[in-house]
Amino acid sequence: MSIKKYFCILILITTNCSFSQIKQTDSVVLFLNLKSTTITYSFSKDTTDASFGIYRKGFETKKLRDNAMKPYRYRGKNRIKNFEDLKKANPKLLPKDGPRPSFSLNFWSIGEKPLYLESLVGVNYVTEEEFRNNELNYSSKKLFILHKLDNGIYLKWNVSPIPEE
Amino acid sequence: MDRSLRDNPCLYGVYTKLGQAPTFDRYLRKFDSDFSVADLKLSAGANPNHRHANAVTYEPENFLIETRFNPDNLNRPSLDIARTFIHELIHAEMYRKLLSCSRLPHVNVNNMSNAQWQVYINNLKDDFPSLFDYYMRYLYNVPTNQQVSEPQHELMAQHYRQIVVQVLKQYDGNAHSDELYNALAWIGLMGEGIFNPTTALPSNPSVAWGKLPLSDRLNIKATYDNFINSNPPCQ
Repeated sequence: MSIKKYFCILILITTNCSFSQIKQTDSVVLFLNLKSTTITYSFSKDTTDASFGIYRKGFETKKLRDNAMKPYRYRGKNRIKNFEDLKKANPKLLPKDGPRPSFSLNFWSIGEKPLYLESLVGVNYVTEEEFRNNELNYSSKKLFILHKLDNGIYLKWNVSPIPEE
Repeated sequence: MDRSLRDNPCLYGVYTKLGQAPTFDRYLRKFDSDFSVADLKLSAGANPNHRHANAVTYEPENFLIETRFNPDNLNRPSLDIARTFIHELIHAEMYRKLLSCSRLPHVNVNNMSNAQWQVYINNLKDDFPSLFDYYMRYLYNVPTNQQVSEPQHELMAQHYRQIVVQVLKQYDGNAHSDELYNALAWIGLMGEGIFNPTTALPSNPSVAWGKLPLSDRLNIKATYDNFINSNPPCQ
């Protein structure tokens, strides 16, 4: 084998290995306890479709979320019912416009049935807390969501962020 | 255009191709003239309060409206990114209209005096009655027990989806079915929160999406899923 060929093969192998590594590190498995009060979820009746929401840091409770929404509600005493009321309203008390804060990171499955796993041996996953505390680390990664059923089986869903614009 | 967007091959490629879509170009030119009330800045970067948003268009500040695209959310087909561009440009167009009513460098009503507020709301009602109507219904006159929704999304869902369809058809030369373009036009306008797969409703649905028949909602979601799964990502 010529040196040129040897180097070509070496480059191919190295590139392939790097690509595999990127593929592995570019995805993350998130384990959710569905009984947690800081997540929400919904399944289709036949459990072939699902959606999950993880409340973000600072918005874990309803009280925190309600507080965050206060600027987006009218803060005057009487409800504005017509244009005359609106004209007379104090602008300092009017609801703020613009994108509302995102309380949760929301995901939906995209037409793929979940995988059934009997155990988590060999599965690397992050917990809800780890995910919440380091959400920036995971924002560009492909996400899979894992949870346990009552019968002890685990379901692993391929999910995408629900488009938010 | 900010360098952050120009340096992103996916975003810049989609933007350049969109320049050949007459409808997109027409909307963009509204910010181009010397007499425009607002400048538009297109950039790429993180939106700390909206980590998962594909893009965010910010309220005008100092006559500047900024649309910031999320570089982490480009593993989608380029047609879907073109959809995000026109969706955000419609937000920018609505803010441009609001700014023309305020006669101020901003539209933050909480920072307006009573006199400035009077000018703003009278102009909005007279100059853009439809925009006024949606702001009245979904921002100012909201019953206390009702969830707050976004007036611009409600208006877009009801009246601007055909603009989105038109731009997307012009973008890719009508290469797909009408069903796909119509499904794409709904993305970002269904509402907020997690999605119930049985009803195809998010926890806080937009009024227009909630009024669609269940079968239509399920078809739109399935069409979108199929599109995402069967087309290569932009980045």
